[in-house]
Amino acid sequence: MCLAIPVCIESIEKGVANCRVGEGDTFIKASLLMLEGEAKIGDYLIVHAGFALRILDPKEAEEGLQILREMARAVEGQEHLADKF
Amino acid sequence: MDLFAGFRDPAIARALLEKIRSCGRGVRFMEVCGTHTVSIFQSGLHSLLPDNIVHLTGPGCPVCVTHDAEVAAYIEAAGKDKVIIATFGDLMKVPGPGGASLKSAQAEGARVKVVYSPADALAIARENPGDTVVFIGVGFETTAPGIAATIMMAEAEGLSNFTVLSFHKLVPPALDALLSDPEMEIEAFILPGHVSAVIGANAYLPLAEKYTVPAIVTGFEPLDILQALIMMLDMLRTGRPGLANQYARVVTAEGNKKAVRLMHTVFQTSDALWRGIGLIPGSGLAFAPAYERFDAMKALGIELRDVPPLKGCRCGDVLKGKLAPNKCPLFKTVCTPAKPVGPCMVSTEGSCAAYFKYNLEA
Repeated sequence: MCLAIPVCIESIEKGVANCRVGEGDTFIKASLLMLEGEAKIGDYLIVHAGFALRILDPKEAEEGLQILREMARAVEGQEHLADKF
Repeated sequence: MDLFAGFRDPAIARALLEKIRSCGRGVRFMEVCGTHTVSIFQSGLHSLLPDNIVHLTGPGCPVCVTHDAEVAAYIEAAGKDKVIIATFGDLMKVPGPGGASLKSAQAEGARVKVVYSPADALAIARENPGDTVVFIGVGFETTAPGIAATIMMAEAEGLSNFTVLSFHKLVPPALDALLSDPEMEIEAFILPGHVSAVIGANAYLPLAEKYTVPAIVTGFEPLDILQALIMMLDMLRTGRPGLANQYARVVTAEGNKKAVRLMHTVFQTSDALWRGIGLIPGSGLAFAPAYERFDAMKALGIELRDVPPLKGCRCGDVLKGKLAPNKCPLFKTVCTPAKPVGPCMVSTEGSCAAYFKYNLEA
C-alpha cells in the first residue's frame, strides 16, 4: 500500500503528478490535492495509495546524510585507533 | 542529492552496525509499520543485527490488524446483490469465518475489484450507476485522508452509489494500549515514518510524557533504521528516554494539517477492534454525521458481529510481539503464503510472510 521510497515529479496535469519511482522506468500518478505547499517538477514526493502526503525536504535529506557520514567516520576513526594499539 | 544510494550506503551501514555492536547493551525494539517490517527484512538488517538487538514487528500491517468481525462484515457485503467491492489487493486472501475470503467469494460470483487508490473506486461507481460500490477502508492515518478526500469528491460529483467501510485504525491509541499492557516487554519503538508525516511528530508527545520509552520517528532506508537504533541505545544508556525525529526530511513536528483536517471532516474518532488486541478506545474512525450516507454499513444494513477466531492462529500474539512468527506451530506447516491461516501470512507487509519469504528459521 505504501511506497517507502520518494518518487520524482516528471510532469503535472490537473492536480495529478506523473512520477518516476526510484531510478527505474516505473511511473505512478499521484494526486496533489492533499499537499501543503505547491509541488513542482523535480520535487520528490512521499506517495500513499494514490495521494501525495508530503514533499521531501532536500536540505534536511542532505543534512541527514551528512550526519550519517560523520557517524561512520567517527566509528572508522576508532577502529583505526584500535588497530594501532 | 543522492537520495537513493545515499541512505543505503553499505560502507556507512557497516560502520553504524559496528557502533551498535560496540554499544555494550541490547534493546528489544518494536516497529509498528508494515513498510518498516519489509525494509528491515529486505535489506538484511534483521539477520545482520547482533543477537541482543531484538526486532519485534507490532500491529503495523493494516491488513493484519483488521479484526475477524470486520473481515466477516466485508465478506457479507460481497455476498449482497448489486454490490461491487473495491479493495486493496492485500485483502483478497485474508481468511474469514469458515475459511471464506474475498477470493473465494469472487469464485462464487461476487463482484470484487482490486484497486490501487480509492479514487479508482470512484471510477467504478461512475461506470456502474445501478450498483453500490463498497470500498473497503483499511489502513492508518496515511490511508484515511485519501479516502476522506475521495468521499468528498463523490459528494462534489453527486455520486450516490459510492460507499466506504471505514475500518481505519489510529496509531497513537494502539501504542498507548501496547504500552499500558503490564506483560509488555518492549524497550523502545521505531515510529512509523509516513503515519508521522501526516499526524506530525508532536502527536506522540502525550505518550512520551506518560511513558518513559525511547520512541524514534524513523525513515525506511537501512541507514535510517540503523541511526534510529543508535539513537534509542543512546537514550537507554544515558537514562534519558524520549521522543525524537530521525526522519526530518519528511516528518515535521506538526505534520500535514490539510490531510488531518480532511480526515476529521469526513470521519470522527471512534472505538475500534484490533486483531489480537481487541477493543481500543478512540483508535478508529467512524463517519461524521454529515457524511453518514457514504457509510457502507448503514447503506447495506451490515453490523459487526461476534465471530469465532481463526482456529489455531496466533496472529494476535505475533502482533503484540509476544510470539515470533517462526515459533507459531502453524508456521510453514499448515500456514504458508499460498494457503494462509492468518492475515500475518497473507499480506506482503505481514511479519509471518516476511519470516517465510526470507526463510528465517532461527
